[in-house]
Amino acid sequence: MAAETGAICRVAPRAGGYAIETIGATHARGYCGSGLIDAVAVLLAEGRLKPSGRFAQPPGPEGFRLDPANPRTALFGSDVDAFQRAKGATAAAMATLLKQAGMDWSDLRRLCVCGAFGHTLDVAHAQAVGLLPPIEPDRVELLSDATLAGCERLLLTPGGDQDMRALLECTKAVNLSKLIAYDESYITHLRLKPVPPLP
Amino acid sequence: MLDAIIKAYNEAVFETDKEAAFAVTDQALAQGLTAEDVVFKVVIPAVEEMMTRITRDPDANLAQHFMTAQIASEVTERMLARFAAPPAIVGRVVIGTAHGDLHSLGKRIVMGCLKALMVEVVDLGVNVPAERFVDEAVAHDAQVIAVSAMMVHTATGENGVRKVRRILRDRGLEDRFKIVVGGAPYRFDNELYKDVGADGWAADGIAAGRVIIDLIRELKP
Repeated sequence: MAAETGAICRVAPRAGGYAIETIGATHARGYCGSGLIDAVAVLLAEGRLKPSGRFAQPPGPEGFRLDPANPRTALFGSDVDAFQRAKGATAAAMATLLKQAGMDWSDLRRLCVCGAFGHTLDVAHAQAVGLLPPIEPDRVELLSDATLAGCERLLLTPGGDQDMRALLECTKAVNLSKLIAYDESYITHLRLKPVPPLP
Repeated sequence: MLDAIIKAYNEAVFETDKEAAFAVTDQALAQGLTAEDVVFKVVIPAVEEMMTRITRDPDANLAQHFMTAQIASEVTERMLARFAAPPAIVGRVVIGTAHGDLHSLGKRIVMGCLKALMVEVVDLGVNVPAERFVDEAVAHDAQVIAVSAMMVHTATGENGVRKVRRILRDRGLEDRFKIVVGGAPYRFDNELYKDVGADGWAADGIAAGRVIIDLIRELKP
């Protein structure tokens, strides 16, 4: 679900169960992106989920409930599958672009995570499941609402349009859907494990 | 020994662990198995076993499907490089996504399975015009033209499979090539393939392998 009131945004292991945090600190209604990343990372570390994306013990038709009393905390195989495909596409996109630019993960000085993800993302968890590359965590910047903030800055800063033009000039659009290398990379990044070195 | 290798290999593939699969096959070679044995006694049975397992298993997922096909294809390629003589090829397929369709992943699963099943595959890429499907099939002396279409309009439209069929008819090539289709719209309507002029369809990679091999055998008994 979207990052709205009741969305699980953080999960951590706790003796005999899981500590679940929701947006608005209210009854859990489902997972938002960062909560799903946490849940997958925690279950993976516990061995309940395997790197293939399967549960070690099939959870049955009710799914795996992080809070046994609340069915909205259930995680299903199909959720994990959707997550794997989304994170695989994201990591593969980064890997492919970096490769095209002739660089490696270690060359990244800043990695900016924008959008709603930028609120509560747990970087170590995102790295453990292979969504973000294994670079020093202090190089990862979480910038929520970056798009709007950027627009605001463009409009309010004198000469902002020149900065914008300079950025545009050194930006190149790459259509990943036309690259066979991207397809291959996508499949390579589907496993639940840290992002591998560039080929 | 072979049983232990098969067991270890199947386990690696089921866990979608490519490195482990490579390690098992390398070890099998070190223990004296030939590359041919590895492909025919280990890899091919595993492809069939895995796809059956995945198809039957309600917990199996699409990500697993992609990874399984990729492992089969990469292991086969590694072993083919070590074959004493070029392998007996079942037949040849040209494959691509329909005109207007850029969804290439379904095609990749099918290609992985076909390569592991000793079918030669010529990948025409995405957004392939109907004329090119036919021209390449002629140029490569293929038996089957495989068209992947993931959207209703590319699966049923006039510039996709229907046009491939029309060109085959117009050029008098219908007895030389079979057409097989795959993609979501054909799964929703299992009779759709006939309507667009295909000879067969398949719901997933391994089924595609079977359907395509059957069609090849109709032309190359």
